[in-house]
Amino acid sequence: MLYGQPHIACHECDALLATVAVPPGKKLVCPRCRCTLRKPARDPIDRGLALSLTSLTLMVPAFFMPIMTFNMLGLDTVDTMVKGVLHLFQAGFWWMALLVMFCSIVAPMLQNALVLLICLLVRAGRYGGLLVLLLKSQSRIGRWAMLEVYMLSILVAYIKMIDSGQVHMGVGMICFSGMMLSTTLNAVMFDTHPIWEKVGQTRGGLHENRPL
Amino acid sequence: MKTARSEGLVLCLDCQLLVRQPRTGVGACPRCGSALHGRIRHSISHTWAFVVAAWVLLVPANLYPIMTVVYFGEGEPDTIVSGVIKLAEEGMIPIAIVVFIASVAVPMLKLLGIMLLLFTVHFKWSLSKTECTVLYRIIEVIGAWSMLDLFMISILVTLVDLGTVAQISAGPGATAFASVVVLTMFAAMSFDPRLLWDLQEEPND
Repeated sequence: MLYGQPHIACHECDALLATVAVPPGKKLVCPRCRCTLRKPARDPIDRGLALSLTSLTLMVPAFFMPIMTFNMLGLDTVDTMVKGVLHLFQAGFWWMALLVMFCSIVAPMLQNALVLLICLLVRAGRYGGLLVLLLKSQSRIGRWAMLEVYMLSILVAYIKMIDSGQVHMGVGMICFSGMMLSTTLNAVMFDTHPIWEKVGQTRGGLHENRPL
Repeated sequence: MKTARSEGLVLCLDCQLLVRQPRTGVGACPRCGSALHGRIRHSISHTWAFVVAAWVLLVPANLYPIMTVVYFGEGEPDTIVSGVIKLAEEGMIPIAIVVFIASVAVPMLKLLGIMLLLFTVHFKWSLSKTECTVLYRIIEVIGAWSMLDLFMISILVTLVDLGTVAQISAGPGATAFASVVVLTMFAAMSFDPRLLWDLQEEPND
């Protein structure tokens, strides 16, 4: 029964399953541990390109424009994402500054840039070593992008300061919200399985659907 | 149930290709070149190391102040817990709950959860494997939310910088807490949930 039939294995419980074609919009769930194994998207490459370009464009104002302004007794201060990190560096909290920078700025940027490059390489039909490297990096960086958490932090900080003075949301906040949405969508929807399949085919029939 | 292991196969965790287990030594995935291991290498000992280190650092993270708020020259340093209590006293109950969940409950529950999984594998406890896997998934997802406090400090430190009028500054507890967050994330990453299901495969082992 096993041999001669294409198989995949669940990465969470190691169950061996016969490959079935999964149409876009449906998902394949492991029958043993209920882990989502395949979730193909419609037009993954076009969507990946659109969402990464959107995120990368919105990142510039989201990082540098004011997220919030605070006014107390006629004194004004402005908070931007980059300023927040620099401030921690200057105060000597370099380890915390690095972590905040990595999770809120560097990882989301890399995540989008990698998806963009992967999509461009796939479009150009170049399934070489560079694409393999980018695909591996992309799957590892995702968990470190924590924009949803940052969003909640902004809201908590806003509510916390509301009684102490006048707090206003800035333009940066609007750009940040948009950037967070497109980055998260991009991370959730981007499906690397078909790309890996193509990589395998160009490397001599090393694809998932081959009989064992 | 047939598993990749029982059929002598290895799943490449980078590209999900199913490869026949090499007879000797460590093979490389023919599709992406990554080293092939049946299970994540040294999963249990690495996870324990991260968990123990995280518990140790949780002590300074909670004893040292993470943030100091000064208005007109007055103000005291706050630890994680005293900050939550202060928020609750000021009547900001929902915010206090959010901060409590992110900074106190999540790191603790995460560490206890991983320890439960480690003990289950070690002592071959007959817990439901499905529920253990659900626990593992929750641990993976909630990890990032502990960063809430650190992001908030970075925002507040910049936002409230009015010299003698009002100033918020970070404290050494924040550095320790940042390390706890990173260590718990590494702990979750190094744990291999397939070890739980292996118990089911070899009940007499």
